[in-house]
Amino acid sequence: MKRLSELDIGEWGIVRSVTGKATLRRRLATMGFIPGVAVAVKHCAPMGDPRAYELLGYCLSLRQEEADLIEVEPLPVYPLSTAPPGKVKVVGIEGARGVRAKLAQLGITENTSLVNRATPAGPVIIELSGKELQLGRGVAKKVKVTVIPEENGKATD
Amino acid sequence: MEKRPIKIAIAGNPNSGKSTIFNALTGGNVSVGNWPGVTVEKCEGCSVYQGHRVTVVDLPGTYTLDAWTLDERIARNFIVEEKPDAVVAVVDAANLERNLYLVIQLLEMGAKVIIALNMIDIARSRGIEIDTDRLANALGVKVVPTVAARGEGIDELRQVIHDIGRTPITPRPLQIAYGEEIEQAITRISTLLTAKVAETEKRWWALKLLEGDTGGDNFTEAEALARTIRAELEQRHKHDAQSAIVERRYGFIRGVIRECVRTRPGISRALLISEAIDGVVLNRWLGIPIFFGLIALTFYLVFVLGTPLSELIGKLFALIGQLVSLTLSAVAAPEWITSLITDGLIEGIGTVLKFLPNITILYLVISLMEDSGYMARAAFVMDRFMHLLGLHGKSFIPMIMGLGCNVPAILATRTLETRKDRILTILVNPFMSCSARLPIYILFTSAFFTRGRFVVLLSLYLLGIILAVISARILRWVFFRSEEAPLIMELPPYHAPALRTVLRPTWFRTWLFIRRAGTVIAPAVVIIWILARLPWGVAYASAESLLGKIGGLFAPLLKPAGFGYWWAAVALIAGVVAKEVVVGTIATVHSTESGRLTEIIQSYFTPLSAYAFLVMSSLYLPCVATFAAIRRELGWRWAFFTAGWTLLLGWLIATGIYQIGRLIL
Ligand SMILES: Nc1nc2c(ncn2[C@@H]2O[C@H](COP(=O)(O)OP(=O)(O)OP(=O)(O)O)[C@@H](O)[C@H]2O)c(=O)[nH]1
Ligand SMILES: [Mg+2]
Repeated sequence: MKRLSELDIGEWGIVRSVTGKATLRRRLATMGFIPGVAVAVKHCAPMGDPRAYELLGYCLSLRQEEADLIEVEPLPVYPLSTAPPGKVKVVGIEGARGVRAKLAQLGITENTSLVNRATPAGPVIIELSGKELQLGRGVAKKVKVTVIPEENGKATD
Repeated sequence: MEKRPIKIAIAGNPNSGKSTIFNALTGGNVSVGNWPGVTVEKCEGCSVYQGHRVTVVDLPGTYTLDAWTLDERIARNFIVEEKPDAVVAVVDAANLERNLYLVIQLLEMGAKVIIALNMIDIARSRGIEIDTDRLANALGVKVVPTVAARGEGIDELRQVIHDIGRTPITPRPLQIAYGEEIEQAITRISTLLTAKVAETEKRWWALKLLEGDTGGDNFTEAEALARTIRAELEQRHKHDAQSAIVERRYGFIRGVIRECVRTRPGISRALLISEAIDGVVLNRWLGIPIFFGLIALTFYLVFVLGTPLSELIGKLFALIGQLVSLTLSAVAAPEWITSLITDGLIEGIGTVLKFLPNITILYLVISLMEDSGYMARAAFVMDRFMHLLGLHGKSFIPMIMGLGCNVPAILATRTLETRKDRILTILVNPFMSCSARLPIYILFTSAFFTRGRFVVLLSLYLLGIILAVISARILRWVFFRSEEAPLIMELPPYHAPALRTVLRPTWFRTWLFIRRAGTVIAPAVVIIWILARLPWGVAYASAESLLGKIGGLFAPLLKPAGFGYWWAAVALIAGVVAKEVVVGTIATVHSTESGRLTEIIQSYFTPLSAYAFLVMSSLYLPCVATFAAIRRELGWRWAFFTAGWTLLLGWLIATGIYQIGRLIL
């Protein structure tokens, strides 16, 4: 368990709890910071504060002071080559420009979500925008993905 | 058919396109921009459908009915207290989950809701498909898909509004199951609610109280109970009732979304581009340099691109002046008529309107910033810096707007949460040089600082900013030591500014400037001209004229600053009406002297005293419109305070510069 303020840029986490004064807690909750929601750190202003986050498909800024109040569970990051099957989200691409450019042409960049077929050997097969694509293992290793839970946002009882 | 006038409110999250829809429905002209908090005032218009009229009210955006800021309160109060016949909830389809929260609150309240599912173009490009029929069924409301920016779906929306607005049936409030404990609490609180509340509204009021809102004097007892229940729940669960309620609402929304929304994996090009831009603009190291680069570029464009054009207009007015005086002498008009028209009107108005190109360019750039989505980024990047100054990141948006005109900038402070931030941001706004001060700057810098012109100009803007900063620090230290408001601000994706949404406000603001030439500058110039000729028989614009006498009263005060001329005093006084009038007055007063205006002022000023005059005219006193805006937002006291403070600082600094400069040079 970490605080949201401790996540690095590009990392994803699942909100577990929000502390602090009741009004602020309620306010953060109405903006979407409720247990189960996935949040990513997107940008960071000069001097490291405030930072911009992505949640519920939009972008919101918070000062570190507020981000300190939010407890998150960081999501594990896998190389696409060994990622679990199902819907995954690209959180980073390692490697030289050439690799990035090639992947971008296929429509794969940071923040792309795709369906992983999780083939045990041979090329990695993915589904993207309704089409099937094949990626070499070597390239797939460079694509870092995370699994964002489908049930994201469901109130915990 | 019923004849009762129908009133419809347009509500929704900030930046969901409410004003765009309002403009499309009513043919109105309220401002639209790509950042949360463009609209800060409710605005009425009229939509006509098959001969029937419906009043439509555009509201400021709000994420919830909780209302944290003044603009949100305006929206909430209108919906809750004035009870419009129906509410058009504008929902950003690309951002459905968070947008539906407000809709749920409206439905729980029992409002008659029509959903305008806006921005479906963006949603579609992100692979989000929304089944509108299912959405309508799940929420029990009409749903009209729209792309307001292109006018799509507006006709259907208009039809639905007119149909629904006229049906007398009020819907049953939406009931969300909040779980055993909270339901019990709701029941307990409901029983305490007096008969003043309708049976159907009791649940909503109970929830509201449980969420910690106050209900006024009517419900003291119920409110107290709500407070104890909250404390109880908090103790038992380490989890507050308020957040639990919010979570349940989101749980409900999630259910609705699961039913109606399909998302294809992938990512949209537009979003990718937007993120790429943010990668640069919000970069830790590049963010601030980019911001200042943009501002410098703006003023470079204003001066370098604008000046040749403005020279052209100047020549045009000179030509008009010659033509008119030729015609007048041809028809043997009396001398005073010729003088009024050529010395007064043409000279006075022409000198001001000459700067139209510069001002239009400035407005164009500001509109571009507003519609692209950069404004919220600027606030984000500058937050830390503003924080050091005792202001809030969001204070920055009004400060940029102040470069155009201080009046809308002062209204824009309504998006700030604390009164402290609002007061400070308003008080320092007059230090931001508005476009009406440009003519003074351009006239004087072109006369005295041909080489270091850009530096001089920059120094004036910087001086304003530095003084704003110092004032904010001092005022904060003297008057306010309250806590900081958080920076919870949405950063909307960039979009390529649409030609229409950029040119429209640019034209509108430019038109206001032109109109002011007729409504404000012309009368002011005529009054100046009359005063310059009275008492009868005196030489035009001499120190013995009434104008000279009035100016002469104040001139000694200006002497220490290096420009103790009666007409300089008159120009500054007249400038309070509107800052352009400073230049208009100088032109009118000196119109009979030979030579160009720049040569005339060169004979009165040294570069040093000219600089002191520039400083004085950039700082002293807000114009009447700004004064009135401050009074409206904060009351007389603060308005007079601002006037006194700016006058004091302006005089002190102008005098200081002149005196110290004299010692050195
Ligand atoms: N792509 C697209 N853009 C839209 C649509 N409707 C509005 N916009 C743009 O969205 C931005 C926000 O529009 P506004 O009408 O100012 O939004 P608002 O809800 O009034 O915003 P506030 O007054 O700040 O609460 C503007 O830049 C519009 O041009 C649409 O259907 N599609
Ligand atoms: Mg608006």
